[in-house]
Amino acid sequence: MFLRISILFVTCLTTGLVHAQHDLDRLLPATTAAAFKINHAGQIVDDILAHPLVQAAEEAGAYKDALPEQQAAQLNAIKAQIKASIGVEWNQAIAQLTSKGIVLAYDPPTNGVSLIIQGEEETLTKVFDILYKTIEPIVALGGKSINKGLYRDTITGYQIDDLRFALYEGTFVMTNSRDLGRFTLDALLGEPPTNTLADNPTFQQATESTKPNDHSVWFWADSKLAAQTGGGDQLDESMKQNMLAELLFGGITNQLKHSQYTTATLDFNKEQLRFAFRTAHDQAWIPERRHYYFGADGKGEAPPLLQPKGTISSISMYRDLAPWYLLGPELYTPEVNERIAQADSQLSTFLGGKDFGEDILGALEPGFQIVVADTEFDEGAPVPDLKIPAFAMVANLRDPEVIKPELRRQFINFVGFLNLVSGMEGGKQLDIDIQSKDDNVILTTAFLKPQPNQPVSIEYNFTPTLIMTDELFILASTKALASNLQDPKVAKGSKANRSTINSQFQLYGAALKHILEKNKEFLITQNMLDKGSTREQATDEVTLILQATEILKMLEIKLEHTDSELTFTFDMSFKVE
Amino acid sequence: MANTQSLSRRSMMLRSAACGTVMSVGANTAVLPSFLMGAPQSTTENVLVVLQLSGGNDGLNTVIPFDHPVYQKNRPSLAVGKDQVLAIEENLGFHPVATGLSTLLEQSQLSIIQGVGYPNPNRSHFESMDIWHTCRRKDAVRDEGWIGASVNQHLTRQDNDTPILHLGSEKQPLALTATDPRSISIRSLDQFKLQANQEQITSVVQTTNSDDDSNALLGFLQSSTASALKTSEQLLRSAASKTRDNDGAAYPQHRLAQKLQTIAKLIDSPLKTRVYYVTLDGFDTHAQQAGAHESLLGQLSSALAAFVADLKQRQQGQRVTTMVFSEFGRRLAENASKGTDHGAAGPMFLAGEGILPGLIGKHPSLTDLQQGDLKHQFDFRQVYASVLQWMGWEDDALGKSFKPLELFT
Amino acid sequence: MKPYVDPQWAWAEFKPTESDPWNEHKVAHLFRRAGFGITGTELSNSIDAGLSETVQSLVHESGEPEEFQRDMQAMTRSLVASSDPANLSYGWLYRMLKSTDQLREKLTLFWHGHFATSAEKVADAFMMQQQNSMLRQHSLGNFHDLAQGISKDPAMLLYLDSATNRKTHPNENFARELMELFCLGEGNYTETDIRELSRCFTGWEVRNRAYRFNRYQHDFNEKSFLGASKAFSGEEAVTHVVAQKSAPKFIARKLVQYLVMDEPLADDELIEPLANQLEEDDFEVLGTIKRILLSNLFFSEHSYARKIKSPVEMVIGLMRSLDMNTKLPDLHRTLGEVGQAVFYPPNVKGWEGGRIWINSSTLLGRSNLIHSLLTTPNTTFGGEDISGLLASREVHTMQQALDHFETLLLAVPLGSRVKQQILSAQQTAPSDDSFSNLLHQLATLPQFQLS
Repeated sequence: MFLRISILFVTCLTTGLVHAQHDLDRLLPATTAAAFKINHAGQIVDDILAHPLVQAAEEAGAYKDALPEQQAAQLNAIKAQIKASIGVEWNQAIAQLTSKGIVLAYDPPTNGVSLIIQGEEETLTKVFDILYKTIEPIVALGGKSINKGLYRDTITGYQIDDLRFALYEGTFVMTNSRDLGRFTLDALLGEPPTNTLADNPTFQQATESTKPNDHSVWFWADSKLAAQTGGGDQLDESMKQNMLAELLFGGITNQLKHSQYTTATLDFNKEQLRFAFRTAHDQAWIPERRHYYFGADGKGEAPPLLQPKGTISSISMYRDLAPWYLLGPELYTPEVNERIAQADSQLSTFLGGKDFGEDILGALEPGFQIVVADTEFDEGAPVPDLKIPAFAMVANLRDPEVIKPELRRQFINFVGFLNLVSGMEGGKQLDIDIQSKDDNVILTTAFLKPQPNQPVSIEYNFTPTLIMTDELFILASTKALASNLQDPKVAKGSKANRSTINSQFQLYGAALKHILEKNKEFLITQNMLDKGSTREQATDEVTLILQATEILKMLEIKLEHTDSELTFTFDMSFKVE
Repeated sequence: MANTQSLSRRSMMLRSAACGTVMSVGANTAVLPSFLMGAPQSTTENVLVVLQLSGGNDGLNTVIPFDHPVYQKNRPSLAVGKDQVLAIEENLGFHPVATGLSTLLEQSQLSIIQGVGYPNPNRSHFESMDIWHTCRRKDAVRDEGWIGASVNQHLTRQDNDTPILHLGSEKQPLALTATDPRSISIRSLDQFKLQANQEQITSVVQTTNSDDDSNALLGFLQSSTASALKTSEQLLRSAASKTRDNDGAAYPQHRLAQKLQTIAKLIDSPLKTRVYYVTLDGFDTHAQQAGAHESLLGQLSSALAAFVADLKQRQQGQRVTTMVFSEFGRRLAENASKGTDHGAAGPMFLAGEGILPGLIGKHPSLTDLQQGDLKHQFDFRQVYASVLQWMGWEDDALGKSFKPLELFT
Repeated sequence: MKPYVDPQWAWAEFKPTESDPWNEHKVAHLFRRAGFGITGTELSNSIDAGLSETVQSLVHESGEPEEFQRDMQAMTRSLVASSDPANLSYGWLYRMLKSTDQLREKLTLFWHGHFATSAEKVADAFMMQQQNSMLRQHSLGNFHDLAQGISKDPAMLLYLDSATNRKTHPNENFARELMELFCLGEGNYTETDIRELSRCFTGWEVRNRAYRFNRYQHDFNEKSFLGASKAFSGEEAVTHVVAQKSAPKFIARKLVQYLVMDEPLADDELIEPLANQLEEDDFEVLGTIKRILLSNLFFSEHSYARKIKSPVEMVIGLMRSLDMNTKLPDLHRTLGEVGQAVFYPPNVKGWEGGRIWINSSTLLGRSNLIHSLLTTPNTTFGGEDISGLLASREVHTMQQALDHFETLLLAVPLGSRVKQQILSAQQTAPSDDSFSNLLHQLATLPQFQLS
């Protein structure tokens, strides 16, 4: 609904009729610092309205409360008026008015903001006339007037206070700066002034990979702008307080500070929603304390995504974990460091005096994968009512011969510790099974079977297992997943040419739905308790939600880079009937 | 000395049942509803703030005998040297991070009671802490804590306010429990502030007094509500205005300091709570002690100093004493993991304007040990006895008689 | 100086008259005490039906429909599966709110406080649920069955540290609580009785979350307590304790405190007729409860507004009256802050109630709880906003709203002067916010805390 309204609002601004072929980089000066473009607005609106997720939400009545009655009525009145005057439905009107795009730009020297809309000349003329006639009396009431003038004997320009607008062939221009406006009009008249945006070197660099016309929505900013607002420093500060944020995003903040540009794009159609964010990249900008992120030489590559049977989501990252933990004093605030010190003290107690950072994390090569997968229970094993998906971490060992016996002991200690603690509280005990073949180690644990009349509680989801084969290290919450991971399929990767993937995450909608479905009872109960609904109402709502989940085919988040550019993408693909 | 009333659970329950029947008659005889007379209860009585260090604080690295050769020899990596300590006297100094404690000592607002423990020390966290909380060992009946029992003995239920307030999200300490429990646990000051409609409610409550005195419960509710609203109003007002009256004192940004700041505000309000309880956890430093212990001592020291300063500025310093203790000290010798294991005797601290400042007692001997641990010279119940006396209470809760120490001016 | 109450008059059946008719005030009083608050429908139906039919319906005819029971079973099963006892608390709040069998839920809550067991210590959802189901099953039934059931209840045994009971060192804790807190009350047994009784329970153990009798640890010799000597088994011992004269008095006194008045505590003379009835009925409690609900004392000044609402009564009552739904997990947490987290009683004495509910922190806590309940987006009033609900009840102005709330929620009429004061303190025209604020202010008044 919100998107509907905002697109409609933009439409109401449309008044220009001029029909021009010029691209935005010829219409704006080289000093432009930021620009934003929407292509095929009409198509976007259609796609949104037809999108299965939107349909599902409308069915579920999610929009019922979004718009109070009065405003809904007003909106309908406007839609009707448009249809009456132009002769087409409102969404078709948008398509025609903005067929060549909508551009918003900012030029610091003139402090000018410019709005340029390019579309079908005929429709633009009609709409402009209508709106002009509507605005005229309102402006007069306010005690002002619309000044008219002829620019270079060709283009009629209008002005209300500081706001200037004009239309020429298929292009409408509106701006608050006289110079900026003139620049654009000159360009439209076929006399491009010197130094348009196309001549701007950072713009050229940015648009090498990201052309303004190639995407549904495109945004570009010259990074001096970002530096002025100090956003980069704020980001860095927040990383310092949160170790997880640092692990996930720590490598990106430096580029934001140094890069000459950033671009953001959005591609949208019925089957896909793709958001990409790009900025310049240079290994030299990464301080030493962050070398764990891309590798010291900047070529660290994430291992391929694993896809064992029943994968719900899969993560792969290049990170050297030991320095991320050990370089605490340089990476985090004193408070966080104090907490690390306390954690270290406690961890050493049951790691038998070993240091967590150096000995445990240090044993792993950078580059690890995490997998979350569907539950799988052996024949005759107790099946709990609440099913928690299995999860595992896979990595390579640095010095397998030395470290394997060590990790084996740590795992056994840890299980023993868990048993002690849970034994004291009357909880369940884990039975441990050890197999070694040559150097390969398989350590599985399982809870002792429950009594016949007792419910199978949540612990029976877990049979923690450690497998170490050659250099491979697999730590999983279930035995089944651990064995599947010894020889998993690898997910189909996709990367841009010559780029190195640093981090990657995929989530599969069908698998997600499957595990949620297994826990449907629990979801229904949760719904009843959260809303006080009857079981019937709750069941209906949960069924709807599950159906919506299935619409998502896959969600992918990826961070990759070439030698000169860093790209972050967020990609959702949808199942369309 | 103390009236040895044996207050068994049985008699406690009879008493509370009796109170229930007596009060319904008593309230009727008031001429005016009590809330119209304003809060008749005084807020000038002494208040005890207990700060528990959980895990076993290493006293030897808090109050440090830095130039004693036995100390240095037994702690090759953990010993703190002469050039680092903050001087207390010729042979003793504070851990360098404890600047707050050092300042308090200089201002005569801190006393260090050395070598506190009990006979036959127990080195289990749970057991030793239970002993500190109930003053009894495992073989005795332990269903009341020393604070809970004392409060029940001396404060009747006529006071609407809760006499004991535990600030924290951990489980309520055993010291506060009683057969007739009257302590509450809160997590933040917000639980004492009305979230909305303070004005309207106050104005309405003032006019809803019924002339009909026949319903004792209603009368009780009216006075309780008025009192609660008054507390809320005071706290809301002081939160709104940034004057000297409230957030003026500078507190460090960690959790313990925030809790003490909350307590300072509550002490400075009409609330009639007599005992506040907070804990600081993490002192069980078996391995890699240096960093962890430093961080905790830093929190203790900075929070305590800010707290005492704040109370002084609110002119509550004379009536508030803070008592700091831990369930045991740690061993003289460090272990192979650069930490220390459970010990026995350790120091206690009292902070405030009414205390007798300085060192109390001698530093425990580092050569005359029992099973490698420091021997105690004072039983902790002696400290309790002094504190109870200062609160104006008898010491029945301690079980038997203990000679109080001279700890207050 | 305690006003004298004639026991015969007290428990005789109340007969409405012209001067003391069956009216809204009495109906609301009945429903507040026998359940958790009253809805508008219940109010009008009960006025029409009259006193005895209403009580008959409350006591005998309000059983939960089968479908609801099945739904609750499914819900309970999935809550137990989560292994977190706190989830059981949410489920029980749901049941108290939605169940048609209000008297049963109210009494189950009573027995839960009487036979207090906390999930804080017994951190096992399965065992806590077993106990709760057992209490519900017998809540309107036989006290002797309850006593037998609770003495073998694994959660209770664990809570009282009686999961093992050895012949050479009998555990006195359970024996003491059985007599002191569960059946007889202080002063009706001696220390010797405790020692002897504890020998009867030797060999009673909890293994794998279930009760088990370990004959090797059981003391099969003769025991002498409470005036009898024989080789009591544990079950026989429970029967003997429950058969004491002091037992029906103890239970009757507690029932009177729970249903009729917080104070004064009924003396022996006053509860004698009830104690006698319990004895005659072989300790079936339903007859006595019904008698209480029909009695003169119950419909007298001794009882009206003479109880302080427990936090659960306060909130569930409010929610029932205004057809409210909210996120129950959040509600449970805030109820804990004002002193009543179901399944988590503070100690073995349960919730003492009465004035103990009230101090500065809990009073402000109650007010804040209601405020956040009314303002959180998770709360709906019959599926809509508060003004929508009130509109459907023909309540449009602030004055009407105040009257409506007063009828349903207050045990003490406010009087016109006070109502004027309240209305003049409201600044704005009727809207969701102003109705909420009005209700919040009302809920902070001392009168609101009375049942």
